[in-house]
Amino acid sequence: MKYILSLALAFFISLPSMAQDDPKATIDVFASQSAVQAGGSIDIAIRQNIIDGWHTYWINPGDSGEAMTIDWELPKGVSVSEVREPTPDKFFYDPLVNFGHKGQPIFTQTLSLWPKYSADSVELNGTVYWLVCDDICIPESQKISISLPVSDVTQNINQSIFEKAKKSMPRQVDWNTSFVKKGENVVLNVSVPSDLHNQMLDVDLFPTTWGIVQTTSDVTSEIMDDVVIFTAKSDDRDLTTLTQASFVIQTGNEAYEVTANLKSAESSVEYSFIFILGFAFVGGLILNLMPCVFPVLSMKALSLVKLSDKERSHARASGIAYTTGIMLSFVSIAGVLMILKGAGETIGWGFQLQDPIVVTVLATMLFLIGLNLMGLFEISGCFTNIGSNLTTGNDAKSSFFTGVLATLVATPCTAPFMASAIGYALTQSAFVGLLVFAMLGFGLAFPYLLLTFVPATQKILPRPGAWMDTFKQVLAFPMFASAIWLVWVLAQQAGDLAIIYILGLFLAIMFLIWFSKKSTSKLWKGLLALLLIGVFGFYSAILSPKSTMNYEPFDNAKLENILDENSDQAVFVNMTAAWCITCLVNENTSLSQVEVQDAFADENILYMKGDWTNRDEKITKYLEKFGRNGVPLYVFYGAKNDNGMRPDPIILPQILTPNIILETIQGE
Amino acid sequence: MKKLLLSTAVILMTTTAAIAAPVVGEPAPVFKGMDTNGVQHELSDFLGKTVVLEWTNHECPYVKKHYDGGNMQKLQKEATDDGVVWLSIASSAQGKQGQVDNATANHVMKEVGAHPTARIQDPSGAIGKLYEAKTTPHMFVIDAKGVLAYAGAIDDDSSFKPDGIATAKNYVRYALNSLKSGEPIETSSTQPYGCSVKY
Repeated sequence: MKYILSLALAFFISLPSMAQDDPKATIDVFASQSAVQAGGSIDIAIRQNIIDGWHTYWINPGDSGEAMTIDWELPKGVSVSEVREPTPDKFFYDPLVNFGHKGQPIFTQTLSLWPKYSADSVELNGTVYWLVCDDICIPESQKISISLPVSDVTQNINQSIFEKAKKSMPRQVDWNTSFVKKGENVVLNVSVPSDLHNQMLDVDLFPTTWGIVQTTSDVTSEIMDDVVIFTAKSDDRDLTTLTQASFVIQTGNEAYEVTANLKSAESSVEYSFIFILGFAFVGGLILNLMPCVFPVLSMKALSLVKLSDKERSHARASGIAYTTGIMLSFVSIAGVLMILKGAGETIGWGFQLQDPIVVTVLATMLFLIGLNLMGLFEISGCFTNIGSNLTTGNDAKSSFFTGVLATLVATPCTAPFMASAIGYALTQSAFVGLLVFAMLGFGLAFPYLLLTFVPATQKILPRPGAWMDTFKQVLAFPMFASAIWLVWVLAQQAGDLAIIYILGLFLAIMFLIWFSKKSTSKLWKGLLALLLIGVFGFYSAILSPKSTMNYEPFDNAKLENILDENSDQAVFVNMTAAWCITCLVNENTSLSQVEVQDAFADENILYMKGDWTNRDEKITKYLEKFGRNGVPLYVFYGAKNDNGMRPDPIILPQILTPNIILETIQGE
Repeated sequence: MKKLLLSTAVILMTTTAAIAAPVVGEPAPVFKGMDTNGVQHELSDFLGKTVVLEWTNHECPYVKKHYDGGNMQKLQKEATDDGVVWLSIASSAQGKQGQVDNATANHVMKEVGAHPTARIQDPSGAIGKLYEAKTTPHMFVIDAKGVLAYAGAIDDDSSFKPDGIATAKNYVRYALNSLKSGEPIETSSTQPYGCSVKY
């Protein structure tokens, strides 16, 4: 009944052209729905009716002309989207070519209302401007308006118009696409799904902006593995001013719109390949100066100062081992990255840092190295091999691991500083990519390698002396600074709570170091090492990402309501606070477990969570009701039993396990 | 093994005669043309002077946009007063919009108060195609050494609505000022806009 009324109110006016006596084109406006909801949106269609032999223009009009513009006078609370346009036709005016439309092209826009839009109807007025040409051009315009009731009751109208519009428009696809200027040509690489490859052999290419492809150019297609390569004559625009461009690829039966990223031009593969390798090498050299790496390298270099002539040959072996360690580490990280990327993961260099556990390990390592440089402790063989004898040893094995260590501690620095260069390497083939990474590693290793191989270079090193200790201690500070930065990164990833855990871990480490100096008992040291591992394990368990259960914020009124009414709803109340470690442990180890979440869903239990982090009268009162003055508190209100009686609420213990919860809610 | 399929490549470049496309920063193509007073002009006549080429068609709405409000005339006057040579070129073919005889052309120019150094009649489209002139207006600025310094639109408001002229950035004026002060031209190539040249 009501919608018939709405339908009657939904009408669309298009006044005749204002300026022209004999317009070459007119406009009709249509809505996709009979009414529009506040907070909702509908589509509107703008149809040009162009007389035979004349045409209007596409968003990129080609060699001349101008696209249609729609100026809406938008009332408050109403917005419209960009105009979606049909795939264009080509119009040839030798030697010029235009892109445009003939007949009855239909453009669409989405009209949206704010949720708070309160008027009964939407009255929209606007003006459409377009240029229409055959041999000559005439600018025309027309006032348009649209009037729609605002109502929740609505139905589809004008479906054939909107179906026709959709059919005439390019399909928006997210195929990976890049374009580059190669000599006289523009080359577009598009990852087209293989079932569509056959369609791609004969296409028209329409860039949505000017100056990329010559309007008169034909397009050749080449299919290589998963990529279709389109080549067309390039136009005169300087493409370096663009970073992205959209193209419509029109095949015989359908059109697709892709967004392409500009690839930096490469004049020839050989040249650019060597250039990239050189670039990577220099990048690696620069890495030596990064705050996380410089101390490692410095100490390694200074160890050479103390060598006697006899040991020079060992030095060479050590240089090679160090270099191998670095290059292997770089190549393996890159390899893993490429495999993951190949498997469709959307990751980039620095992906290692996306895992809170890895960040924790790195931060801890930097902290330890800092302490070591400070002279607080010497890492002895029994503890760990990695990083051992940073300052003294030169045997091949320890040098190899120093190389690995240098790579590991370098990663937090590479991520922000080398992102774009490494990103480029990753777009190359696997072989080129790995070589680039190997070169990066070689650059990082080079200064030390040089020192070990060319004894003359060692002369630039200052003479050993007491200053070395001071220098070493100074070097600890960049390490601590890097560690601080990583703690911040961790807090972004895993929340504020992570800070207290990682600083707790640092505290445990300090304690262990202090204690091992005090005590000579191996048993105690062993026990403490175990304790440390325990702390770390606990910490990892807390950090590892978990799905949290959907909850409703605690609302006493609502709870009372459910309990008073004859409702059958079961409720589980969790009173918690951010500073309550027990609460958080319970949430992580029990409440967020899958079996618990499933059980809540199966038994249709309303999960209410009260946050007592800040003072809250209502929660305090609720706690008092159960004789408590603190959190955690877990209360379960069971559903009614067969007699229609609600059982007494059950208070759960303060330390939860999944089993305790399951037994309680399943009434066993 | 890569499968390699090549589809047919048909080059559609049916453009006539053009020896080389005009490229900003390279010598501008040389041409000869007869003006509406029967005087022959050659680009080489103007070595040592800055030259502006303006493709025109007085019936095109975009040309009208710039003449009706006096925008084009003002720029022409500024430029020629400054010693710049301004050639308006009509490349409309015989019988197409914008092609008129010398007397009518002179009359039209007088009526609107146009101020070019000369108006060149190019009904064969030879000069237009040599410069790959696409639209009216389509503007070219050639420096005193005969090097193409600017090619493209007259300004950055490509609409046929005249409201934008006042606030638009006039690329030709910028180019002329930069040449005068010996500074590099910031924007030396833009997309021309307007009606197509009626070859």
